[in-house]
Amino acid sequence: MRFDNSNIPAEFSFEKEKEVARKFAQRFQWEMMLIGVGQALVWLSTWFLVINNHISLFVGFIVASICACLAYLPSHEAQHGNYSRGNKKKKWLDTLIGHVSLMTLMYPYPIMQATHMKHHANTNNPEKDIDYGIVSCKNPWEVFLYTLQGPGSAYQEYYEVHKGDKNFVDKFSRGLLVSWVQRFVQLLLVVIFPLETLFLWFLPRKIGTFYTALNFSWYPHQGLGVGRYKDSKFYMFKYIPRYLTHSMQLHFVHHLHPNIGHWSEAEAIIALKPFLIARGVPGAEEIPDKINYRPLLKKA
Amino acid sequence: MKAFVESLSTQIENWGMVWFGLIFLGSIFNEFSIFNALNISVLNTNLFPYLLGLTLGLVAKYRGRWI
Repeated sequence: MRFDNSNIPAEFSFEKEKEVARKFAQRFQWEMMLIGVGQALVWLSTWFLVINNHISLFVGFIVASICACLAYLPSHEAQHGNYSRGNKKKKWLDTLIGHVSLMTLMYPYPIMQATHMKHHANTNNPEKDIDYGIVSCKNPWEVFLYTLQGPGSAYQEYYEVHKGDKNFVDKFSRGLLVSWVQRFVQLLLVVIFPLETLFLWFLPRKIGTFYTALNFSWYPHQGLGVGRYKDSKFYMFKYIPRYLTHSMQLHFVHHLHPNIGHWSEAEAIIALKPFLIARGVPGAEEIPDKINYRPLLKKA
Repeated sequence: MKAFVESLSTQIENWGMVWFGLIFLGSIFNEFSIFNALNISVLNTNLFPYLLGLTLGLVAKYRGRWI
């Protein structure tokens, strides 16, 4: 068991916590789907507009970089099945948004899904957490260098660790095929449109990957140990509002209850606050009594 | 089919960086005229940028990393 139930009053039991969390894990997340498909369409339009000289390559680069920063989260919800919510007839929504949204970042959805589930099951475990390479970075510059290198060798290493899990291996193999297709398309495009491929795909996806790694993988887990209530933290920055970090200040609640939709996390945290304090979640004492649309800036 | 996919996978795993250097970096370098200092032209294509990309790819392959 990844957590200790002793010394926890019955009113804050895991069962009661789950009951509260369940209320926030039911909403249909149309906003997230809109962002996922929207950014991919904007990114594709940017190619058309730049190639036909309707906008400059520089403007295209800025737009593509913003799209790349918005690309991961909608797919992340799909990885957890948060669009279909267990309804087999809606499963196609998870697959569609998962694949389409990741186009900009050139990540294969099946590999992202397989590795992300392992990250949840083994958060901050150096041997088993696929994101540990990022978590162990000491500062943003190290995260930048790590993401610049690409995940190739780390994925190979963690594949060896998890290769006993058939579901993981199946998804990984399917993801490899997707990855080859993506790489082939990029190599084909670079021959025909060299600068467009560099500035509308290659560089934006590096920027998007760094942004995602910094906000999703590094800061919420950095400096923490293992354990359900110990591996992620609540935090606030002095000058960076949560809208610029995809609200990753609230990421810890996602680790506790991954089925809570991203847009419902703020409400869920307020409802769960007494449970979080009782469990000693890092930073839980600092959670304000209201979040709503507040930027969550730290007061001086 | 399985053997083909496996051999393709091994090929990409081992030589991915070299192909990336040759095609991706080569095409980018080719686009910047400053790299056309040494003109080794075959079929109207200056080979120097592609050789430079290939070299960087080979170096990365033997180092095991790009940077």
